[in-house]
Formats: sequence, structure tokens, C-alpha cells
Amino acid sequence: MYKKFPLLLGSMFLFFTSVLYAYENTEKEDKRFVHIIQQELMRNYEVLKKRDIPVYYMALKVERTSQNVITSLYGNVLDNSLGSLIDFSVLMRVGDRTLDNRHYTGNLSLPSFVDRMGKINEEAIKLFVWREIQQTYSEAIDKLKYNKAQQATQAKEEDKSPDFSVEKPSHYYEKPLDENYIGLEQSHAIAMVDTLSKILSDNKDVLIAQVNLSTSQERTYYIDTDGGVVVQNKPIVRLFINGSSMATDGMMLEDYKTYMGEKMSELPSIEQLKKDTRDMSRRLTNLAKAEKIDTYNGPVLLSAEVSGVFFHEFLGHRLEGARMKSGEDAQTLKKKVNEKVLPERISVIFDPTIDNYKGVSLHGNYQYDDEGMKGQRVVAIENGILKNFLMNRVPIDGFLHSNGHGRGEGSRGSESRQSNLIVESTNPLSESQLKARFIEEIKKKHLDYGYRIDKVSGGLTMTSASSANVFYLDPLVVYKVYVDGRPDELVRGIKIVGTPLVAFAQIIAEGDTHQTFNGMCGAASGSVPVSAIAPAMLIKELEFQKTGDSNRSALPILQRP
Amino acid sequence: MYHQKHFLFPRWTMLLCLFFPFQLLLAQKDFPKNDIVFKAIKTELDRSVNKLQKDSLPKPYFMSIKVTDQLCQFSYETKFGEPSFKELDTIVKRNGKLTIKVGNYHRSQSENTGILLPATNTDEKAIRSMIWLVTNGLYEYTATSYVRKMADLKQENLSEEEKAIDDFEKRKPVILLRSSAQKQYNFDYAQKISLEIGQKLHKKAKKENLLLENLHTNYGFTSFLERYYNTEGTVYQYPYQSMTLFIHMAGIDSIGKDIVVEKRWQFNRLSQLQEEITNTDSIADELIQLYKTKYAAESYTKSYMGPILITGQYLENIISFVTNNLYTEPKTSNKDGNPYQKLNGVRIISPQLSLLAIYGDKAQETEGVKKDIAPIDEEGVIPPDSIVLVKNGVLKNMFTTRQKVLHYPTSNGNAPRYNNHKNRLLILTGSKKQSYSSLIQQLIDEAKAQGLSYALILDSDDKYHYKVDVQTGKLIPIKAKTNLSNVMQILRRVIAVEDKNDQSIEGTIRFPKSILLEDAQITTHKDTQRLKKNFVPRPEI
Repeated sequence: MYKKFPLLLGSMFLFFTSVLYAYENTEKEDKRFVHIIQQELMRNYEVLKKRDIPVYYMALKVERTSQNVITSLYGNVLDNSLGSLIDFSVLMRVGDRTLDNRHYTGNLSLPSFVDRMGKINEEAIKLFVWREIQQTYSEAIDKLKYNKAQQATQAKEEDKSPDFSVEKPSHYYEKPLDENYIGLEQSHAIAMVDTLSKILSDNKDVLIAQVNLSTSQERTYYIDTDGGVVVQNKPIVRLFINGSSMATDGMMLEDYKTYMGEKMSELPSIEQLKKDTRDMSRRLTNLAKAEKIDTYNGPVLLSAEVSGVFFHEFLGHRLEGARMKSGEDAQTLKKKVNEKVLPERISVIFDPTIDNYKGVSLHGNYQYDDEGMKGQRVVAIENGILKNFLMNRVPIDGFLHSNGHGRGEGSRGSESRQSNLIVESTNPLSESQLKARFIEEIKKKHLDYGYRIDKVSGGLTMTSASSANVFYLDPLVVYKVYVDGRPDELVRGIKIVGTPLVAFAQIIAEGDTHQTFNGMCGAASGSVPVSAIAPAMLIKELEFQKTGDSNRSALPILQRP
Repeated sequence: MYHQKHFLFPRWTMLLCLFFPFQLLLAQKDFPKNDIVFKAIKTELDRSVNKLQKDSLPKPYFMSIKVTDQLCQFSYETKFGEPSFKELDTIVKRNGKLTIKVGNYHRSQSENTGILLPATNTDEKAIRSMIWLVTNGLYEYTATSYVRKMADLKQENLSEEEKAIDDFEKRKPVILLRSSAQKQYNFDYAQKISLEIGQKLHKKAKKENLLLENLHTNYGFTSFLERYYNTEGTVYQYPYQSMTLFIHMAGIDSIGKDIVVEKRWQFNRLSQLQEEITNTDSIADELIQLYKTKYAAESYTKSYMGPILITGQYLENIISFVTNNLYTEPKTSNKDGNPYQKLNGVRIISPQLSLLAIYGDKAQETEGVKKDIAPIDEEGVIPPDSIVLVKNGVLKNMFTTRQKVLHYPTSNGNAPRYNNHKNRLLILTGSKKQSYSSLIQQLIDEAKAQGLSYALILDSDDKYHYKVDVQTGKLIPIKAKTNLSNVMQILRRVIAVEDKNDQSIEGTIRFPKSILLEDAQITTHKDTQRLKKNFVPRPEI
């Protein structure tokens, strides 16, 4: 089907349209594409598996993505870019499962080729796939020889598990989505982002007022030589509202809010978005006037949203199996299976199979992972006892199969990553009980106040054996909570630092209301959408570190126009 | 099994791109106060230049901004003789380049930065806010650099003459406003010709069993509007557009090295496409022949010292290298300026050669120019009609900007420095012209005299060349990644030039088809590309 080019008469507005004359991706045409690449993959495999150094597994990963990013600053669109790309990656395993060319070292990247997405051309696809396979094989046999040399000359690795697991191939085909399944209507989207950035912009205290709407309609194909074919859609809408203000001492203060969904219609109403943005605007003004605090070590109450991020960073990354194969990783929890690592009342589950929690879309949801494996619910910690890890097709001792957590971004490759993290407590406290317990803990420490963290911008954790295994959280909204009942005070200027094993023991109470944090998690295999559902938590002791001068700059000489 | 029912688009599609160009010189001679973009940039720059000052740091004395709107972009691509991609993008993208100079005209420090600007024609405040967002930081950085520069200057041993030179030339403001006429474009011919070339190449390559691994054509059209304001009061605006048709064929040779054959046309008017690309058969034949020549070329890895004949794009690249050596450059703490600015009146290349630059309407109206020539440079200076740079090998003038240097106190409209081919036509001429056959004979004679069994011809790019057997006169294609050292020095050894002329694809660099050098040194580089091997037979399509 051909789109008709809208006849534009006059140029009163500078925002016109981008017309991509894309072919219609009918199911028939899509299946033809699958057939072409599967046929070429298998033709090559039949020859390469018989060579003296044989290929024992191959897969083609293809991502077809149509994206639109609209950014508005100070009430006006600054950038509006559209693009459609197709990305082919080749995964090849040469040798045998005990030691192959892709023996885990943390280098996950795959040979790949990116092109503009257009009409399917059988000749171009087959020639490209064939040539990429020849080059990949040529490099893979060299890499296998190198890996064997490494094994012969270096200390024996502790982990004796194979390099690649044996799994049953998956067969899953989702029909192509409508071309505008996401439901993006340019003029409405532009009006929305302009309206929201203008709300922030109207506040003179706000220095940077930015709203970014990105939509991506992605279709992924995972086709392997075990006979597996997994074709699925990954539509995503992300609205990001971000503002900055500056305190009189030059400290930059930031606040943001992210909304995610599969369709535009899943975003909150414009009235709700306006209200949230106005709240943010007020908070930015208040933050600029807030007291700057110093280092601290004592009780901290984390909001439900912050607890989710906290668990994702300090625990979740240490449950990712693949990275523990390598001695380069600190392997904090590898030897603690069936041991108590958290208080008995806490369980931690990862479940990619659920797509919403209390009406909020979950972005760590998928049917099949990026290695063509069915996503599975994994009870990682049951009543405080470590039971399982998040596994992809890279096994570790005692965990020889994937549980559908092999994730990654295109040619960045894949490894075990988090999905939807859920923290459950068997003994939750009501909000007032939790607050009372918090005050009690502050008093026990003979302090006049403690801190409550309502919002963080994100976090970071180190898991390498060659560096300190610390985690950081960057709080955006922090309140000082007095024991004498004075109103809570907004404060600024700290980071949270900690080490995992100490932090595990510090969780002393949880709330009874869960909230969802949706975000993007970046690691060696790229950026993947994740969710964390957790209740508010009381931490007995947490350390605050000053943000320092890196967050400060001189006040602007001139006022914003 | 593979049906082909889903055509990408109808064979003929009427595509319209509103807004564009044909430059109209409007009578407007005043500041365009009804244009919101101009109004915003003027208001914000005037406010900043007057009010920005931090503590004891110096104030800005000059600010400028260049705002470039990408108005319309059209792309059409074919792969293996079939349409594969088409897009018309009329979403305006606006970029700016902001410059701040602090101190004063005599002692000045300048810095610039790129900015994304909102493509609005109604919201002045939004444009001003984005400029404001980067101005403060850029001012502070420039002012700090100024302090460092002044400290460095105290360590310099400058002559009285050098001390007297201003850093930046003061100019009277200029207003030059050329606006876009709305125009509808029809890209049908561009699509037709792209597809036709793609199909013919595909068919002929199959017939010749060339085993191509990539074959695509790309047609691209883009139009822009450029605006500029500086706090001296200079204002300019002009539209420009360009279009390119590009053909790419690739495969591998018998040992697994890449063979790439490419051809590119560049135009500034759609009609040129129709005038110049008519015989698609001959284009396809030429490219197929070139592919076969490259396939058969022998690998050449030796160093070479001796006479050479330089032709085609290799010569064009040399001219670009020479012109990059002809920009004046101020003295800094770590560089003593461009050494050529002390050689005015000295012979710098062979007396055979002269180099002329032509500007403005004269350049634009020269037959065969297929590029929109900027009427004014990025510092708001309108260049003269022409500049003689080199006459019979003697340096007569250089490309100057408003950054003054000794002996070159006035800009001739060539900002920014280096690789600036936006606003001129360059012509290299030779005095001793000879036919190609005569040049080849001289090349052979000279090689023989130097005791060589062959001589080299450096041809179209840096990879494929020819060697000439001195006994038989036969041209043998070779593959070699070459590097010609000391270009300025070897241009002193030109014996003769060809009596026919060649030009760059957009027609703005013109030169003799070939030049003969008495001797030069060529080094070759090892090709480190992994050889391509076929472990599995090529797919049969």
C-alpha cells in the first residue's frame, strides 16, 4: 500500500511531515523475510558444521525499528527526527560446548550490519547474510584458537560449566503490528511536549525545561540453527519530562518524570501530565531554596519507588548469572545458594511474563528473551534464602539452563539481565506504623532527625573483582524528618553509597503499598527496559556522601529571556 | 516461491517540496525586523554583548550567530536494480553556530559552539532561551581563555610591527538578503534515472558474471536557508540546495580483497540531472568496465622514486591540499602562523602553474558550476570577484579572514579557514600544455633516463593506479594504497600539463587533466583488511 503524500499548500508552519514510503509489512511479506534468512542461515550451517573446525550453533538476530524522537525546550520543539533501521547480527559458536569461540569474557558484541529499512530485496539479504557468515566464521576460528591458547597458559578457571547451554528450540510468531500501532499523531504529540515544556519554562527558577517523547516500533527476529524461530513486536513509548534549577550557591538541581507505555493511549491524560509538570516546577523552585546537607550515617526511609531502584542496583545486578562465570566478577552471591541473604520476611522474584501491576505497564515484560528463550518467572530469593539466579544460555556451575533472562540491545550481544523485579514482604507495615518505626530508629541513634528519600534519578553498581563493590544512588527529592514532629524539610546535596552485603542486613521494615519504577538499565549488553515493584523500606543505616563541587557552577550572569 | 507483488511505490510519483530555492535578490536593505528568527538572534546577541561581564574578566565586544535551516530532504535508493527506500522529509531542522569574542579588536579571544535551535518562526522567546542557555558558559570559557592568552603573550618575543597588529579586523556592517522562492520540485526524473542505472548495472553485471555483493544507487536532495547576524550589525541570508546521485558497486577479487567502484554526480538544479545523465547504457558500461579493470589489477606494494603522471581525483585532492596551505593563520603560543604568509612574492611551486580563485556571481555563473556559491563568508565579508593566489609558481596572495596577520591585514572573505569550498571556484592552470600522448612519451623517456623499467600514473583515487611499461608503453592497472609525500615540494617539479581540462564533480575545482612530475617519491601502505574467504558457495539467486 502506498501512502499518499499530503499536498502542502503554504508554509505558515515550519513543522511539516516526514513521509517514509515504507512497504507495507504484511504477514505474508514478513514470513517471506523470515523464510529468506532462515533458508540462507541453514544453507551455510549445513556446510560449516562439517568443516574441520565445526560451527555447532548459529543464530541471526534482526531488529527492524521505526523511531520518532520529539524534543521540546522552553515550549518549542527543538528536534523532531524520524528513522527506520534494520540491524542484522550474527551469533556463531565454533568448536564445542565445553570451549568455544565465545567463551565468556564479558565481551559480548556480535558482528552486525545496519541499513535503512526499506523494501525486502532477496538478493541483497541473502548476499549480505552469506558474506557476514563467511567473515564471522573466519574470525571465529581464530578466536577459538586464541581461547584454547589462553586456557593452556592461564590458571584453570573455577567454573567448570559449558560455554553454551542445550535448550529446546522455541517457535513463536507474532503478527506484524499496524504501521502506527503506537498511535502517534505528530501534531498532537508536538502540542503535548510544547505544552509541558512551557509549563516548566514559565517558571523563572527553571533553567532547563525539556520534554522528550520517543516512540519506537521494533520487530525482532531470532532464528537459529536448532530450528528456533522467535518473531515478536516491541513497541515502546517513553515520555521524559526534565527540569533543572540552581541554588544560590550554584548547585544544579534536577527533577524528572518518565512515563512509559506500549501506545500513546497508555500515557496519562494531558491534565494529569500538566499537573505532574506543575508539581515538578514547584519542587524545582523549592529545591533551589532547600537546605544543603552534609554527610550522614543513620536511619533512612526509602519510598516504594526508590526501594525498587535500590533493590535493582544493590541486589539485582548480583543475581545476573552470566557475569559470575568469569573470575573478573566479584561473584558476591555465587557461593551463597540456599543461604540466608535477606531478612526471612523478604522474597525477590523476577517475572518477565506479567505486563502490568495495578494498572501500570511493566517494561521488563517480554514473551521471549533476546536469545529466543521463553521468559520465565524466577524466584531468586525465597523468604530471605537465595534460590536461583537470572540465567541466559551461558551456564554457571549448578545452573545449566536458561530461564529466559538473556537480554541485550542488537549487536551489543546478550547476557543475563533483569526483567520485572518484584519485592515481597510477609510482614508489611502500614504507612503510619512504618513512620513510627522510623522515628523510633532515629531516636535509638540519639539523632534529632533522619532522612526520607522520595525520588532518585537512578543508580550505579560495580560488580568487578578489581574494584570496590559499591553501589550509588543519586537522590533527587530528599526530606529531613524530625523526631519532634516538625514538618518535613526538603534538602539537597547528597549521594547514597553502600556495599551490598552490609546493605542486605540493614533492611528492617517494609511498607504495605507497592509502587512501580519503570526505566532503562544499561550494562555491557546495552540498554534494556526494566521494572521494579517494591514497597517503601526502612533502612537501619545508610551512608550519605556530599555531591561536592562537580554539581556546581556559577550562576548565569543574565536572566533567562 | 518469492513473489514480487509488493512494489514499494508506484512507478511515477509526483513529489513536491515546497519552499525552495532559486535565489532571489530582494531589494531589502534594512534589518528584516518582521523575521522572528532575525529578531530573536539580534535581541539576544545585543543583550549579551552589552551585559555579559563577570567580575574583572573582560567583556565580549563581538558576537555572531549563523543559523542554518535544513528545509527539505528527499532520498531515493535502489538495491540490485529494485527500489528499496524513499523518503521525503520536510521537518525543518535548525542548527546554529554561536561565536563570542572577548577583549577588544586589538587583543581578542574567540570561541564558538554549535547549538540546536527550535525551528519556530513565531516564538521569539524559545529561540532566545536556547541561545541564552549556551551563551553564559561560552562567555566564561572565552574570557578565561583570554586571560590565559594574555599571559602567554607576555612570553612571546613580538616585534613592534607584530605588536601593532590588531587580532580582529573591524568592518562596516553589511546587509545582504536573498530569500527563497517557493518552488515545487518533481523528483520523478531522479527516481527514474536512478532505477534505470541500477537495473542496467544489475543486468550487465549478471551477464558479465561479475559476482557483485553490493549494488546500490542513492539519490539525495537537500535544501537549506542560512541566516547570520553579528553585533556590528551585519545581517545576511541566502538559500542553497544540493543534490547527489551516487552509485556503488562492490565485490571481491580472486584473493578476497574488496573491489569498489563508485560514481557520484553533484548538482544544484534538477534540470542539470536531465541535461547530463541521459545515456544510462554508457554509464553502466563505463562502470562495468571499471569494475573489470579493478578486478584484473595487479597488487603493487613497492616504493617508487621517479617520474609520475597525476590525473583525475588524485590531482583534485592535491589542489585541495595546496589550497589548505594558503590560508593565513595568526601566530599563537604554539605555532608561528602559516610559513607561507612570509613567502609573498616567492616561487612556491613550479613556474608552470598558476592558481586563481573566483567568487560570487562570477563564480556562480561560470558554465559547469553545479553548486550554490555562498555570496558572503562566515564573518560577514563579501569576497572580491577573484583572487590570484599563485602566478607562474609565485605566491601572490593568500586566503584571508578577519583574523589579521602581518602583511595580510584585510579579509578577502574566506572564513572559516581550511576546507572551505563553499564560496569559490578554484582554477589551476599550466603554461606548458601538451597532449596526453606526448606526456606519456615524456613520462616513459624520463623513467628510462632514470633507469626504471616502468613509470607510475596516479589515477582516480588512492587505491587504483597504472604503471607504464617503458619498453612497450602498455598501461597495466595496479592496486596500491599510496601516499605522495611532500606535496608542496613535488609541485615544484612539474614539467608539463595536459592540454585538456578536468573538473571536480560540482565544477568548482578546475585543473588540467593530468600533470607530469619530473620525479616524486611514492610510498605504499600494507592493506590490513581481513581477506574475504568463501567457506560456503555464494547463494544462487
